[in-house]
This record gives sequence, C-alpha cells and structure tokens, in this order.
Amino acid sequence: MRTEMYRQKNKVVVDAYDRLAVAIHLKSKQCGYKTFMICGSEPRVGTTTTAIELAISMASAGWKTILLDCDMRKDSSFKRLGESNQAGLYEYLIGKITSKELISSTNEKNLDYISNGKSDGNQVSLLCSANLQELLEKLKKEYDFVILDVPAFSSAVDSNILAVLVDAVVLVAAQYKSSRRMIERTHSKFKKDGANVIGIVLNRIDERTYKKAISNYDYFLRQKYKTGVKHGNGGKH
Amino acid sequence: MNREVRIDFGKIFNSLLKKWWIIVCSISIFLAISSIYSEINVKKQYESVTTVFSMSYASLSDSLSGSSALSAYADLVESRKVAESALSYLSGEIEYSPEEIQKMVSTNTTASNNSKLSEKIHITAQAPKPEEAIAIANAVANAFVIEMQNLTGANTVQILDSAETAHIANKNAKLQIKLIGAFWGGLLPILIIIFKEILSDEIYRIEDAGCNGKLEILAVIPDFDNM
Repeated sequence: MRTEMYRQKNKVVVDAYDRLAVAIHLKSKQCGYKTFMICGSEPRVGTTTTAIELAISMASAGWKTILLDCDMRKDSSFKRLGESNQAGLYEYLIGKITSKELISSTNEKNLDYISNGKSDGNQVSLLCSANLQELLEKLKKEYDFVILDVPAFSSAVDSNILAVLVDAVVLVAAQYKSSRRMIERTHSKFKKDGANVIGIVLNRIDERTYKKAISNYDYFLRQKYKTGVKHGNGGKH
Repeated sequence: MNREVRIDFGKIFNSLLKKWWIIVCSISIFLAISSIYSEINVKKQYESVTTVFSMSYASLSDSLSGSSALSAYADLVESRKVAESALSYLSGEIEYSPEEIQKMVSTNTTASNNSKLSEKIHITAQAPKPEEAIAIANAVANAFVIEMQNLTGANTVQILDSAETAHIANKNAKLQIKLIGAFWGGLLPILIIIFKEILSDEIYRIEDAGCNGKLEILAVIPDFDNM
C-alpha cells in the first residue's frame, strides 16, 4: 500500500517547515530524541499539516522517518492524504493486522506512514495498551524519526496518554486562534504528567508578523537570483 | 491569581480597521433610529419675543420704584393668573389652557451697565405656529402689564417692543438628535472592540506563544493561504 503525501507548493512555507525540521534535528542531536508528538493546544490550529510537513522535511533531508497518525477519532478523509480508510493503527492494536500490514510506504523517499485505521471506539484503552508501547519501541529502533500526529489537547485525552510515551512533545498554536491560557494549561498539564515539552510551533501567522521574525525570508526568491542576473557581468543562466 | 493585561495599541488599531464594517453598520442603525425618533417627536417650534420695561415721565424716584417693582414681580409673567388673563386677549382660534400657556412662556431679564433703571424683561413664547407664538407673547405681556398696574397702582410698567415676527426655535434639534445617535452608534462598537481586544487572550505576537519564556519557539509558519 502506498500513501500519497501532499506537500505545500509555496516556497516560503516549505522553507518555514524546513526550519522546524532543523530545530527538531538539533534537539535530537543534543538529547537523542527520536519520537516526537505533535499536539495542538486546541483543534484546527494546523497540527496535522505541521506533522505531515515536518515528516516530509525530515525524509527529504535523508532521515528515515515514519509518520504515525494516532488520531483514531477522526476519519482519515479529513487529513491531507490521498488515501481512503485503510487498515491502520486501530486494527493493529486490536490484533487484526500485523506490523507488516500496518506500515505503508509513501510517494516521498525515506518516509513511511501508519494510518489511524477505522476506529469504533475504545481509543483510550487501546492507547494505554502494551501493544502501542511495543510498537513505538520497535519504530524507534527502525527509524531515525518517529512523528506522531495526535488529537488536540482540549478535545481528547489521547495526547495525555501518548505524551509520556514519546521522547519529546511539540505543541502547535495558531495566531489569532489559540489562547495563551490554553497553551499554558496544556504545557503545565504535560509537565505535571512527566512529558517532555521541548517547544511550540506558531502556525498561520500573517505576513507582517513573519517578516518581523524572519526579515529576509524572501531574499533568495527575488527575481535577480531566479534569473541569475549578476550586477556588472551581464546575464548568466 | 494575577493576570497580566497588555494593551497593544497597534493591535487595537488593526482590529478597529478590520471591523470597520461593524462600526459603519452600527452608525447607520443608530442614525436611522434617531432620524425616525426625531421625525416623530420633534415638531417645529416657533419663538417670538415681547419686551417689557418700566418708565415714569413724572419723576426719577417714580422710575426707580417702578423698576424695583418690575424686578420684584418679574416672576408674575409665568404665573397662572397672568396666563388666565392672557387667554382673554387671545382670539378663539388659539385654544390653550392656562397651564399650557405657562409652559410656553419663559422670561429673561437684562439691564445695561447694571442699572436698575434700564432693566427690561423679555417675554418669550414658543408655539407650533408662528402666529400663535406672536399672539401669546403679546397677550402675556399685556396681561403682565395690567397685573403690575393693579399691584402698584401706577402705569410705569409698559410694553417696549411688541412681538411682530417669529423664528424657528428648534431649527437644529433634529440634526442634534441625529448627531447624538450617530455618535453613540460609532462609540459603542468602538468601545466594545477595544475592551474585547484588551481582554482578549488570543495569540497575537510571536512571544505570546512562548508563555512568558516558558516555551521555546521552535518555528513560525506563515499563513500560506494569504501569502
């Protein structure tokens, strides 16, 4: 089974996700982290997009990466993936499929994918099961990076369960959408449970704010660098 | 628990700009309501003035006592007795009660160089029709003059200028009501937006996501739909 991953076409956005990949890579190098849980403080802040783009960026850099969709509450048709409801994590955790049938390749080199599956309920008990812990340990040995996409903190308890099973938690928030209070609450809850929150990604920021953060983000997008026109030396293609 | 409230004027200004349509709609609604209100409740009022003074050609002391009496009994202009007497001077076309006449009439006393001798009472009458305003001002003035003659036994109090013309008293009343309506229509949503922004908890600046330095900002991702 092969899963199609859709990448952003906007170069500025791809560059931003590559910067996130660099940050994650450096954290991994410093502290030896391999499993990362991407979790939004609230729904609809772009958690799944961030998880997918991060996984693609890590894979593009040559790291063997697997994206694990742990959101068993949402139908996979809501994800930005070209696949229908294939058997996935849910079926694996109830023992319906083996680990060989669980993992699917993608159109991106070095990137594999585990879908959420078709859940009928019991997500919490399945996430607490030994099967999942064993799976994560196995994936940690086989891959350089394991990226987990989970439901938002405020919408389900799933993230609380998984946060303590991974090496690092990355929170996701959106400008003009997420609230400071919710982020603080998420962070303190994870910390209290013993999870390792390494930082936050601020998503969907407007151009003005992005320019303040990364003032020359469009430096190499300027026309002269695209066409290769060099001052004083004529055109060079 | 103490909570920090940060006032970001730039954010407030941007928010007001984004929600300009709410302010415009609110002004329009309040303006419409105030226009309807002013059309229904504000009727044209005409105003006419008669001036009364005190003068004696006999002696200065008579003039002074007449002026003193005028000052002392100026309130009589707005009394019921004078209003009842005034009705007798009004033709049958004008049908008002003494109480209504009292409400229509107001007085103003002026004097040049603070001299008692130069004191004058300006009797102003307001009515829906100009001819009514003129007639009422003159009738009340006449009734007051007669009443003063009865009280003092002298003819010193006289009419200086009779009312001959009337002008619109509340020319700007409708406009004022509309302006007040538009003002509140604009102010209320602005205040609501400002307070909402001040008390808003949503992430605005990049540092807001860091929870006062507790969280490291790993990356910022631009909004690709709008870039």
